[in-house]
Amino acid sequence: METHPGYYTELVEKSTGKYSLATEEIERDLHRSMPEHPAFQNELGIAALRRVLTAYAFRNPTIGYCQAMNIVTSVLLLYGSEEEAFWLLVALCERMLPDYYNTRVVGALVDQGIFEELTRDFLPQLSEKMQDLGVISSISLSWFLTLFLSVMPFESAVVIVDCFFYEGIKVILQVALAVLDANMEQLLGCSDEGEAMTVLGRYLDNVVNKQSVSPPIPHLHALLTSGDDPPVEVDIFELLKVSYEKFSSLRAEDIEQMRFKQRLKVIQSLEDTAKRSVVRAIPVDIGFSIEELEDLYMVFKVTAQSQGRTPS
Amino acid sequence: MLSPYLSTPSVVLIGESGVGKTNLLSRFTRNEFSHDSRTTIGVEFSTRTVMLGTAAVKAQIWDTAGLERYRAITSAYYRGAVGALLVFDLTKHQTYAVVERWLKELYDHAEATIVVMLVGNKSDLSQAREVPTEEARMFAENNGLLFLETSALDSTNVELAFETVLKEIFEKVSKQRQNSTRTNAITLGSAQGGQEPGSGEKRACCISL
Repeated sequence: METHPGYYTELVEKSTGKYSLATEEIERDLHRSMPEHPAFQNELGIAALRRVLTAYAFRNPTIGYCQAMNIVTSVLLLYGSEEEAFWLLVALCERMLPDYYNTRVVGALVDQGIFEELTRDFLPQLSEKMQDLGVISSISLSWFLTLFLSVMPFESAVVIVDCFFYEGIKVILQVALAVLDANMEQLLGCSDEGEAMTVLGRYLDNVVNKQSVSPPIPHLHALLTSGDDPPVEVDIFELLKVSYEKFSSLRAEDIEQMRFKQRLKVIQSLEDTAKRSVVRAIPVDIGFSIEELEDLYMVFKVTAQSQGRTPS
Repeated sequence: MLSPYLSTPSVVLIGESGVGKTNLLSRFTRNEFSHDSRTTIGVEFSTRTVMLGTAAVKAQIWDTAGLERYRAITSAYYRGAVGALLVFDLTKHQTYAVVERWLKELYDHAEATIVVMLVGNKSDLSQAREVPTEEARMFAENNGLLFLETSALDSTNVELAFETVLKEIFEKVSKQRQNSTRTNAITLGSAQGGQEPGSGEKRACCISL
């Protein structure tokens, strides 16, 4: 911020009133970012959120705007000035959460892959079960993309965000492991993915911050997951403590290395999915085998890429 | 552990961002509606048990993010689904104009036997309507989809929409059971999906409501 005085103001001036797909998507989401917080129930807060998101989309068109940025930015605005919120968003998108919000949320999928790998290392009993249920991929994406803000009560999630800015992605992975660990028994008893998602969703809904002095903010996620059983409250500081005690052996350098490895896997699997769905869409009676069609797909893809396009 | 229910069919909610998928889900499973619900990140999930005839069926409903960048993730859920509600906002023509693309996306990933209902949501905002009922109904008929207009806000047709899809799934399965000497009969609730049936198979037949 100090090395770029006036940069944000200038961006805001340049981006105001310019229309793009990003601004349209931002506009649609402004009231759906942190609607439960009074700061975003009036035009003042909404306008600040609009300016920061629009300015960022203008600064970095390759990312533009991605849902989840709206939720994270809302919280940044609550704890700093508008300009500070902007620079924190820059740090998030371009350094701390690399590629999280780009066109295929590759970065978040990469860290999710790391999470699966760590589950195998730290919680082997659970790992196989999770794999069977396919749970990790379905539930944890939002944990990463919104730093738990969309799944935990506000007062609790901000404590995690705080630790995250201090220690980086390690904290998110650590807490994610602690959440699985805390629910081990129940998860092992689940018969399908939906059941496991309900167990975890309900647990996260009831992570509370007893030290919070501000008036409680209603927790929206609970609308979807609350059940009939009386909820068991979990203290966020206890959860964090356990996560440090059990899983803090993770090192930032190791995570970077794992990110590198996972990245190739993720991109390969996205490519495979794309190829499969294209090939599947072709009628069976055209006289080519699946293998031939897949080969053809690759030929078209390479050709398209050499002309600077990718097949859709 | 044995499930106490006969089966747990899974249904996906798909469609453009902001058409009201999450509110349709919360209205159906919790009878709740929120004017400013949060944007869905990735996939959300909820269940509700409904009675179909004498059978209790625990429907699993997957609510997916409408945003394009999440498509690679959300489309993974189409595969295990036996039903889909393709939702558009009847006060925003743009969300209806892309229904065909959504349908293609769905059929690209889902089983060919999936039961699909086209849902025009926000019918309470009749003064702001941009998509005529007849136009959407015609499109649905021509494409072998069920069709209903709903309002998650005032509850109109929300129950009916989900229940109609579930009923249709069940009828289809029982029909298939009757003449299933072939091996590739679909099994309800199987998240893995098993082998893919021939893609030349006819889509859900049209039912006027």
